Amino acid sequence: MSATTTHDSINEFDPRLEQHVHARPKSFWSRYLISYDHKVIAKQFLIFGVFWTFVGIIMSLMIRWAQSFPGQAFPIIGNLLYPASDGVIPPDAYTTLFTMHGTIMIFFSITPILIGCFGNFLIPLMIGARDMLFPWLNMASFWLTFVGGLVMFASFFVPMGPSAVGWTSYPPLASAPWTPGLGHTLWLISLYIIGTASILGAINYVATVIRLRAPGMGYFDMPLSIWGLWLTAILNALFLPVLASGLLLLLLDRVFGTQFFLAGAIAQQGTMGDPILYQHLFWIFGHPEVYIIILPAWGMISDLLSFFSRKPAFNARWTAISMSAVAVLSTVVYGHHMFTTNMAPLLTSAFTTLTMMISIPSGIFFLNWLGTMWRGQIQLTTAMWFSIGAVFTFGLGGLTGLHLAAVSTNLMLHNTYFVVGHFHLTMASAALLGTLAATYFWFPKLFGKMMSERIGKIHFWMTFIPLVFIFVALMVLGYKGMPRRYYNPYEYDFMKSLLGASRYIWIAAVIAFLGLCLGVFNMIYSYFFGKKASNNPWNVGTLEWTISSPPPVHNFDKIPTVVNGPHEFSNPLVTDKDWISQTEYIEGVSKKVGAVPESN
Amino acid sequence: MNNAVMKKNLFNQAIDKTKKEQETTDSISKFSAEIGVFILIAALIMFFASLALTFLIYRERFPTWPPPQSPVMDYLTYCVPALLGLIATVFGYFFNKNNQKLLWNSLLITNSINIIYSLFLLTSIATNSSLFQTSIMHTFYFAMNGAAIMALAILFLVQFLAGIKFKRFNKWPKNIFSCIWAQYLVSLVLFFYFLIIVVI
Repeated sequence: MSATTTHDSINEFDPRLEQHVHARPKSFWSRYLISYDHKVIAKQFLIFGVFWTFVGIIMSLMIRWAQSFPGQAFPIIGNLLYPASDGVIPPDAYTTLFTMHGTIMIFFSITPILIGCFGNFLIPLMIGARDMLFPWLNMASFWLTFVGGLVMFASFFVPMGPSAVGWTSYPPLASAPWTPGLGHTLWLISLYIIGTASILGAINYVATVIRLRAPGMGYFDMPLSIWGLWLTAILNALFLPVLASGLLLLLLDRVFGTQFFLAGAIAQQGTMGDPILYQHLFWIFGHPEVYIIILPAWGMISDLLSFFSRKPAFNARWTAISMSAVAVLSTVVYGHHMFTTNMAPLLTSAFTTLTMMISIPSGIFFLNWLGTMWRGQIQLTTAMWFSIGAVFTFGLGGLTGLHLAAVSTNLMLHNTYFVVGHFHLTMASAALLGTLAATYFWFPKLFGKMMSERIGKIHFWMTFIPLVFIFVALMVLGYKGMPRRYYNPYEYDFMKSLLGASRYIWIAAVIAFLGLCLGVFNMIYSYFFGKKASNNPWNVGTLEWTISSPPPVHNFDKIPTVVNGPHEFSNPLVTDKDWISQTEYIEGVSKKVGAVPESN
Repeated sequence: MNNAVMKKNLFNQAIDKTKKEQETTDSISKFSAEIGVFILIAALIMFFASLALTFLIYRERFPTWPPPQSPVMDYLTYCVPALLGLIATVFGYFFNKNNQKLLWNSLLITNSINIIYSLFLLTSIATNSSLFQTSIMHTFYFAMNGAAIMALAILFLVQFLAGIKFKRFNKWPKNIFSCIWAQYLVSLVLFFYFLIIVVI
């Protein structure tokens, strides 16, 4: 018999807590389209993100095809898309492809799914709240994102096509004289709208975590997923406005003829803009953006490794502190993206040192992950496989990042495929694998159905191995000197020998794409035909698993009182199970909570 | 009674119960609104700080300022309305903080000033933009107008976030202090922004 009892006396709902309870939606319109419910908004973000992910991934396949089989028609849809060139991807379309692939994957795929979907779904549920603090803003955030997506989609159909200047949109190339047409202007407007939406979401996330944590839940009692999402929201709120200012000035340059970022012969006589100025504005945002994307994945991985090792997260407090340290340091290292802009030597040394310093907190939580798994009773579920995969790819990406942090090697590797391989390992592969881990883990709570583990594991191996192969191979190509963004690098003799490697990368990319299709099939199949999920199928103690799957509209009948940490596993005082819920009072283990957080 | 109806009734009972428990705390509290407003203001400060910095760097690249043949900056257009908004908000807050009705009125006055200001800027933008295509020296005029209008749009968003329900003027917003506080901060940000761009 277990020593556990429910401590009812401290679990009374305190009416001072401000919580939104929505009326039951009565129509399709109020249920799915203008819903204030964070769970519905999360699903809207998920659908939006999955659609754009497919668009972005197909573009990446086209990029790899153009690099692997120059001058040959792209299979199946090539003739449909490029009839004028008999299905061969022309050079101007190639520049469009890598621009839109980067933009879509960062702003329309990973951000909506990892931050929009999982942030919305998990924050209220994991902190014991009934909804976000500002539900109206939450809804506005999604619909603004949707409008941003429509504007971006429209840019594909304007004369001269969509943006083709790289996702960084550097002037002078991004200025009207070099890139005429409406495509890039719509790109700027779209990102502006998306940025505004993200800021609204960030306000909600930060304020909700501060205000609506359940009684007894201190900051270090929060699951690490919430830490990751919270830090991401803080970075989003502070640094997206900097990008917004750069985009605004670039928009003025393009549409109204200002010359903030134009210089030299192309600028009107008497004006002296500065293209490098834009790069500063972009990278002040751009480097924190890397962490905006990866921090939620780090948090989720930290939780899942503990859940499936059946062990408390090793040194969880220091994982949270290290993630915070990375978030702070990320704001002062952006200069390493600009080492080739004739930066002063003192400044390059400073940025090198600061960038290297990020390895310290990163190393701490990386070792904490390994410490969590060490001697754990590891359950190799699909979610655990994806988490381990994310740890591995992040390790690879992190180590290769050191080469780019140091100015001496950065100057050699700048603008090569080494950079492409490195950042895809860190912010694409690790974030993608983390997202998939989260999807497999929280799908039962999202939709009330279990995903197929068998298909999931095939999905994992079809994703993990090709991803590692592709991006490590790209780094090798970069190390050999292959520059990124060249339409046909094999016109240079010294790169001709690399064509074979490119073709292997193409094969791996196709396998990864098929893996992605399998994953989406698994989601759809499980949604309709999957096994019904119990309230707590994984036997873990965080708050979202104390309620039904999927959760009711109001989430919790009673606002829970938290008496345990999120990773209470294998406690010798509990004999009949190896986990303890965050709300389950056990004498001698749980903390006594009599007060609620200060209110009003 | 069939299962579905019973389930629905149970669900509605749960909703009613939880709603009843919270009758006194249905709206956002002052402190929560202030946190939301504070984050938005922080974002706003980052936005205007980076714009102001860009303007200053841009300006440094010219040997003489203002550049020859460029229009003279209109202090009245930019600084005075922002300063008026700031003064009205500060006075409104300090003289009426013990009287909700007067506070509400002062809020309406500052909002009216801001609306008039934004209309003025919109007119300015319309007239300048036609010139702008041919005269590159209107850069500053245009960019500042655009940024100011955006700031005003954000101001209204801030007030919404702080809890003002514009359609229900007959009800006092519970968190009127947050609204005043938000107005004060936004006006302050705008004022310093224009001070940096125009006066210095």
